[in-house]
Amino acid sequence: MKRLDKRSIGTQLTLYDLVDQLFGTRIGETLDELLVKGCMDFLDEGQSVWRMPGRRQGLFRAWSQIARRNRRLRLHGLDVGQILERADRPETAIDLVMQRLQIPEALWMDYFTVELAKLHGWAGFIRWRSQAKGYYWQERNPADLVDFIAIRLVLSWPLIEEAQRRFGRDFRYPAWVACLERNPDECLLRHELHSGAILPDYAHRVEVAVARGDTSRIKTLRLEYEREKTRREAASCAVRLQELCERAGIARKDLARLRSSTLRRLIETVYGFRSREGYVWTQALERTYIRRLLAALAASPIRARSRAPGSDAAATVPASKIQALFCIDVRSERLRRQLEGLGHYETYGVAGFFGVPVNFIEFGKGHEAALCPAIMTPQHVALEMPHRHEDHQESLFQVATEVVHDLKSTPLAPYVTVEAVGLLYGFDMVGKTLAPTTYSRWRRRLEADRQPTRLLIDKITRDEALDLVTHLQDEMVVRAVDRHFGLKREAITTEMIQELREIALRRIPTTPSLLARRFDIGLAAEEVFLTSLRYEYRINPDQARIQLEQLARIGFHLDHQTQMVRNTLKAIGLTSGFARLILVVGHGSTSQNNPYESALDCGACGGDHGAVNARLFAAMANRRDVRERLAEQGIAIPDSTWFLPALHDTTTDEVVLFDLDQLPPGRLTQLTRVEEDLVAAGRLCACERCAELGDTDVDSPEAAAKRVKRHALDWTQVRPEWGLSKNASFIVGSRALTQAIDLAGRAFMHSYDHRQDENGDLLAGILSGPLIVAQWINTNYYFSTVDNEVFGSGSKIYHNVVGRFGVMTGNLSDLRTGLPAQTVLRGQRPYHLPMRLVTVIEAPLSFVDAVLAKVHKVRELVHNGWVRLLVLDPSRGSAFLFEQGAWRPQPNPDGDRHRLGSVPAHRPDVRPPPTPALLEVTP
Amino acid sequence: MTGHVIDSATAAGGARAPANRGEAHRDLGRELKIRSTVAIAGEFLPFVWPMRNFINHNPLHGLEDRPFDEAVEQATRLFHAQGYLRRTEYQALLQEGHIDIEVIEQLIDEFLTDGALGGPWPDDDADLDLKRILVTLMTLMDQPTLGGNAIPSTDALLAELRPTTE
Repeated sequence: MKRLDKRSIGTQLTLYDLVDQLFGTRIGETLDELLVKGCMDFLDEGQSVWRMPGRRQGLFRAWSQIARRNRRLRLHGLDVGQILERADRPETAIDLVMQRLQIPEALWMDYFTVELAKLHGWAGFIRWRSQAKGYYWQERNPADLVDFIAIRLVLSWPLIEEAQRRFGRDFRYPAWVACLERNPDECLLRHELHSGAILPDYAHRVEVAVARGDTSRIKTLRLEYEREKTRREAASCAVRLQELCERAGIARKDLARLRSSTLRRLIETVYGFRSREGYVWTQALERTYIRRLLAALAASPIRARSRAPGSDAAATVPASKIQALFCIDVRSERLRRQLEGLGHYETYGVAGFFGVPVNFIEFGKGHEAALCPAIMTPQHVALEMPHRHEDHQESLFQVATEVVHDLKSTPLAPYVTVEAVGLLYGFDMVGKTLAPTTYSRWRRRLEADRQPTRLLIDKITRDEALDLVTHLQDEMVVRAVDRHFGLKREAITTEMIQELREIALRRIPTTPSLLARRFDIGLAAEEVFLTSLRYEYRINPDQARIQLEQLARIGFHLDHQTQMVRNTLKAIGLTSGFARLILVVGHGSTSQNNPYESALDCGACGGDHGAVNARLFAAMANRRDVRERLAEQGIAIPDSTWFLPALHDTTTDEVVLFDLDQLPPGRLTQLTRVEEDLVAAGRLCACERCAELGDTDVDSPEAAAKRVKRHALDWTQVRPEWGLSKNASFIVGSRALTQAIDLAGRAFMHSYDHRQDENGDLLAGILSGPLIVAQWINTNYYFSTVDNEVFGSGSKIYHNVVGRFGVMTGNLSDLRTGLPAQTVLRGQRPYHLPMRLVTVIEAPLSFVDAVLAKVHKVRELVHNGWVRLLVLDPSRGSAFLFEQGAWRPQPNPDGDRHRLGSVPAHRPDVRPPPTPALLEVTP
Repeated sequence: MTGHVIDSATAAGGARAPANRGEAHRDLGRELKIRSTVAIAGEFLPFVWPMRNFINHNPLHGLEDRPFDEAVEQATRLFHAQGYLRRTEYQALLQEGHIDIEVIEQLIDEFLTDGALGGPWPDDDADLDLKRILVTLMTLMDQPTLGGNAIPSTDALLAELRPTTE
């Protein structure tokens, strides 16, 4: 039986938890409901028709203004006005309520933690939002955890007060401590009664006894009840124990003969083991996987072919050979394997942002999207521009100028122009807020007329930036004159425009301007107009300075581009033996009506498609001046080599090639072949995918390809793909290590050659970047699987999008976090296998140890067992697993390939073999 | 706890307008203290990103400074959650071949010898095959029902076991 410990008050239980548990109230539920409604109203990002007023003042103040006269609260009998009158700041409100509840200050931190854990989804979103740099809605409507806790506490006070009145008790902290100390019998019985754990035949007696409050009767009943309950529990456990022993081959009569000390040991072992059992199962899954992986690697026939660095430099690379860089994502593994199976492909794995962290501004959008792992903050900006201009118009300045002119006729004059050149960030939101319908219409038109684009990656000079800002200001003046005075461009002179701009910037004295004199505009009207220019159209020195700062962030210096290309190529060990064509393949997904779509995109690109980063990397690697600098650093990329960006759709396994217009004409013949190869490999992947999705009626690769495409476009499809389900390992080493093995789409794979990494910096980079991202993914899948209701987001069937930023179950719930059931469960059963990430590094053990010493976070994860680190030491020919604080040599496996089901890559004319994929299952 | 209904109007505490500059400073100091207490109390909370940029993350990120098994134990208390699958789910994975039975035996051996329960048993209990019993528990027994989840004291259980075994 569970006895309440006074030490749990405030550290595990709130005061109203105790009221709920001992008096059968539902204060916690009521609080959750009221707080969720408040959060929904405040945090809304444009979904709700009626907007909460006063949000710019912050969450607590906006809420408290409404709460003072809120009928919803009155219906619950709550009068929070009394507290709110005395506390206009959230800190004051917290102080006030905590003191009223008489909770000792030493417990406050624990108490807040327990409160925050109640709605950890909403609290987690507010916590993220409050630290997110440049998040529009946070800047506009600020909220933080202090607001959140303050509201919760303010709401809890009248609810506790009302319960006190109702039960005639004191429910403040000191009273609860005294109660648990002095009346443990009553507390225990009350807890049994209201937690539903009470023995049914005792329920009525207990209810009557606690209602009467006779201490001695309660004590007598408690003694009887406890004795009886313990006896029944013990009897039930004894039966199970006997059953267990019988199944283990110990007959009841033999069990009876055991000495008491032996029986005691048996009982303590069995019950002592129960708290460890889940962990043992988890280790069993991991260890089984590791054993099979080691056996498969030992049996791999290609491993010996691992080449020495630079050994290919002199060798001739066949003209037909194609290299391809893929994201480390587990879903790349299938396509890589199938593509390699075609014969002339060599693939590499690298984090899907290809070493180019960037804030990207899509054409027609005014906001930046950070395309890099969430652990990084990009410093540079890349812009997308329509690709219509002549070849000689290379610079951003020329293209942007052209864009400004092109957008003269757009409806949202001041905003759209600015958006198009990406000068004023956040204006996408302004458009949505000020004129949503017009804006939306304009956006649709823009999308429909979407032209081919190119990415601008070079820095512009300060003079060019100044010119650009000036040009933009002039455009603003033209629009403003038109709007204010109805004067079209042809009615005013360039001199007038320039003069107005200079006046707005306060570079020349104000009035009267040429425009005013020419059109008889009065002093007052002119002053209003100038004020509008400065504040509405933002022609002012401060804004000009911001614009110049923003422009300075655009693009990368040539040396920086060289460095990024070099680092990526070195990290994957591709520094010689370049093929004539190198595909740079980012990935993304396609699904309809799926709020979780971005969970299926590239984690290394901040949950976005990877095409932009692939295009940026390829554009840089194709530059002659970048290659000249790379050659000086010992990486000689032949002139004949071309990097071609592509996007792998992980839902359909189709691959789209980008920037073909920039492909040298001589390569077009090769292109057809590549496209056919990609289609063939994609169809074979689709076969594997259909098998996993349970589509058993698919009888050919073509049919499989059609089926997966249908899933992608079906808006009722709750599971367009399995995402990264079943992810199990992260392999850092040469592809030769794993090339002969079917890793069943369960391995993240980062190419790496320790022989090209003298000081360990490359490995440190892989561990502190891609590995961390993979570990985040792995643990999210783990916990979403073991408890989908708490750590996952439950079934998609019941999901409702809230406020355009999150999902709730039904009309009102905690904000759902983690992955939906359809991603990790098949029916009620786990589809994902919950295990910690088995990280394999191919490098000498002493070298890995030294690198690990340099990366604190990863060392902590390894030492605390959040990732299982396995080192394949080529110098010793042995494997070592870090376990229980030490490196433990792993036994040499026998390399039974057949048992593990290592299969050759599927051929187009052969159906997928029935043998289970490696490391999948061995029935 | 008995007999006192407090009157909120007379309850202690409450915000007051600062009477002078010194008091204003004290109020500011107190606000900052509350603010930092909340910030530290919330460190365990995993970030939740907006849906349009879903970021996979560790829901137990705030507990990564401690060993995995300990963190799971703490999180299950804090979030009222499960940290592992149910036994029957693991048994199904065993049946399907995702787990080798030899590995389970190996892990049980390690459990029994690593001192988790006070070290290896003396020889006089050699007739008790604990390894077999635990392997059987893991692989053949159902998950206990809710009532069976209670763990009574060893003495109570022994008292039940004796009369029925004899």
